[in-house]
Amino acid sequence: MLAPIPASLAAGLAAPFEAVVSTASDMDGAGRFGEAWVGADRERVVALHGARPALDLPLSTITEVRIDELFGASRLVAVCGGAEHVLATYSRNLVAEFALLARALDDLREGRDVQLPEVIERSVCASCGAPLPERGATCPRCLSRGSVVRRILGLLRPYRRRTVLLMLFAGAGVVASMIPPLTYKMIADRVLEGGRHEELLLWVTLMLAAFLLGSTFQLLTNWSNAWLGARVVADMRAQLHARAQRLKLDYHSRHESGELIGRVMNDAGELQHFLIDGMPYFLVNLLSFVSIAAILLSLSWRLALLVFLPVPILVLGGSGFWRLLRPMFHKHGNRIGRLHTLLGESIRGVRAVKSLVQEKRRDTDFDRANEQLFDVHVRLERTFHGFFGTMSVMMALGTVLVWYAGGGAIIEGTTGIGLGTLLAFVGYMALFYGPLQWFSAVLNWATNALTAAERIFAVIDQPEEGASFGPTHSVAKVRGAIRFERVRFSYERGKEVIRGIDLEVAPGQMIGLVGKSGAGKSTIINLIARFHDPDSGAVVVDGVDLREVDLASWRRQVGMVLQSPFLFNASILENIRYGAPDAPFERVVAAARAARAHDFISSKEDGYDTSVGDGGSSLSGGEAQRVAIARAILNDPPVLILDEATSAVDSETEKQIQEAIANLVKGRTTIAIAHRLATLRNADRLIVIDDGKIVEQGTHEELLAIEDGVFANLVKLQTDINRLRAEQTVWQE
Amino acid sequence: MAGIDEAFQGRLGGVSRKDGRLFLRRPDQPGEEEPVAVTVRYLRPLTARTELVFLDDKQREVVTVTGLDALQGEERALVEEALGERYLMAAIQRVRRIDVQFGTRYWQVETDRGPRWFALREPGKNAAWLNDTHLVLRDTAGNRYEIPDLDALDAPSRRRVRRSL
Repeated sequence: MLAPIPASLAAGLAAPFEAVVSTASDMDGAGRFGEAWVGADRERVVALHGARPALDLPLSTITEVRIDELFGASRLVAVCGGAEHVLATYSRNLVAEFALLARALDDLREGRDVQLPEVIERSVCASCGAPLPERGATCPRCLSRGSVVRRILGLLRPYRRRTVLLMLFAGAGVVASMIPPLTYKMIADRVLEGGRHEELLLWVTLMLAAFLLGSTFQLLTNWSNAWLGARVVADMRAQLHARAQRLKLDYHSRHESGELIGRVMNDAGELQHFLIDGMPYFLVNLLSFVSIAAILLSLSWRLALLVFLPVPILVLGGSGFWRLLRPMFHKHGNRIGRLHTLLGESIRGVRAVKSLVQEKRRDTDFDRANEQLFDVHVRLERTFHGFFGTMSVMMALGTVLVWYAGGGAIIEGTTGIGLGTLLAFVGYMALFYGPLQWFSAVLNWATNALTAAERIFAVIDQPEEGASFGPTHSVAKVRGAIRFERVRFSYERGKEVIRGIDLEVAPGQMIGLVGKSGAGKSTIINLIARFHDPDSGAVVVDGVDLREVDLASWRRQVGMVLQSPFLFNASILENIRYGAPDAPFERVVAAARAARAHDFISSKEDGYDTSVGDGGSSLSGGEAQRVAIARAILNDPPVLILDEATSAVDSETEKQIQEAIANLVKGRTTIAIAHRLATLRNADRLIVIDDGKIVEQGTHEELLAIEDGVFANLVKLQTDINRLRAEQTVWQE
Repeated sequence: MAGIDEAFQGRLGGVSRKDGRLFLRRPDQPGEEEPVAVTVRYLRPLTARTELVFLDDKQREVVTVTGLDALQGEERALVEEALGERYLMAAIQRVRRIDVQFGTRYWQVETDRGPRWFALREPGKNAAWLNDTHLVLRDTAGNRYEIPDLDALDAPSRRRVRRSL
């Protein structure tokens, strides 16, 4: 049950209704924000907007349940033959819930049990109702800051000794900084007024010692803190990287790579900045703030109260100021970003700008963004200086008051305030006011750092892949019999890409997957490599459900050669043996030779030591392909996944790649996404996939013989394109 | 292929609605006398809702027209109804409050479709000014909201928007 239908509404239905599954929408039938419900039992589906049922349909009449993406919303539609009934219109907040409902309706229609996942990635906080910053995120408004702080402190546990040391240094530093104003008092009271001139040197020495000690302890505090802060963040970053490598691929397909890189670098950096600069500042100043207040009160509570007078103004002014400044900072950042984009476009797109003769327009656009940045910059700076100006006036006011009242008290000589006390006050006041104006800034900073930490923990807390199904066991060497049993799969809830596939591959057999792009071929190989688990059904290898097999031991049995192979920024040699770093060089060469790569590698200036560049950028497409094939051959996997490149290469390279592939597939269970005629012909069986289902299977010849068959049509299209290409090539020559 | 100047010369006629679906018949096209099930879309849903395209079940163009002047009465109402069902972007009429928390801006607004509370992040990406006063927002869940004319809002709402973006 995603959200139960209120009993009062269900009571209004014509026949008794006990919902098996139901959910609430956030829009009514007319597209206004409001409430509506959709629910189903084993017989019928009902939609309720308000008291009267809007729809009450027998499940048996429904031929399809469909989700329509509208502009700014979506809707769930029940198709009954030619007629369509809108079950609910809902905002994007509820796409996950309604996708599950759509699946559940399908299950009910086909007489299956409804299975709902335990965790639904909602976009609205379940406890406070606030919109979430990201689907499935923890609600920052409900987040207990205490628990995040405790976790950060938990990271300090291995460095307990250093942490204690840091605290001691900070405390000692504060104590040392409290001493000099007291020496002012002693010098004034005892030496200047009391006439004990011989004590001057004593007090001055003490003052000097206090200054020196204060600075030393501050230095030690900062040093140990620099180490601790950087240590904690480095640990966090390592945890984050390790986790990112082991996250389920679902996570990676849901999040852009830049986002994760941002977490590892920016969020960790933000936290480090705060831990190293903000935290000690805050601690030390809080400590000295309290001690100074205590000392002042003990010296003279009357004068102390005068000193405290501007404090509320400083604190309130400070927080008000940051509230004013924060949107300005955001604006400033956004406008700098905008200017960056424009500048980048103007420079990278200089050819396009020139050829379309739009230099003037680019100038205008840039000038406008530039002026906007100028405006906000000026306002930001002025606000900043205005604030500090006001604050120093406030502080000066405190000083003036203290001199006036203190001076008066000395003249009257009644309250026991002497020159020494007054001097000590003035000395403490500078220490006291200074940090106040920054407190709210640091608090603000802490908030951002806590959010960064929370975002990092959110990734660290993601489940690891392959950990969801109970006990697993390793497989040493599989025979390679692969079976799909009624497999269904969707990347995004509601958009099923594999819709019930049954498939049997015998050990050593070669299967060619054929179909339009988006038909589901890549998803099938992803399921075999277990980058994803099926939503229902199972992928079975040698009679064992893949989910019961230890993931790493299975992946070692599967070789993959993908369309655009990923090469690491290292030498060709290291790339070929990336999966088996201990392989002797002789075997690497043998693999390269079988992959028809030995010749081109040998002819390079640096031979096998040639660096392939970032992402393999210094190799040609055909070369990178063959390096990837050599990598797969070296590992000698019993199961091979092959996603043929579609890009055209010259005929010589094509021939070599064909030979390399022929060597590669020998004696292995091979699942190939096939584009090349040679591969199609060599396959033992071709499987034609359309819209997530198997529509035809058989040998190349068998499929060609099908009148108006999907495969026959694809081949015809392909032949036409090839003829065009051939003609073009002739023309070019 | 139609010439560049004739992109919107398609003729409309024979609109009907049956079983929740919109049908279009094009008597002027030989071989297309039978009504086909269509969906209707704006070509420029954000900047100018003037041109319309009718797509068939396979998302192929049936006809593209400028406005609905060719249609009257019942037929026109049917197309407008279908457009109303598809284009559900809420127009913000009043901004009650925008607060920033943890880098996310929370907007509390009144729209033509009722009150709404949504979260906005990365305004550089998710807040687009189509001109000086026309603003389109995309919230963290992917919903869209627009302020067709910022100057038409009350002063506090304007101030909140200008300060936040």
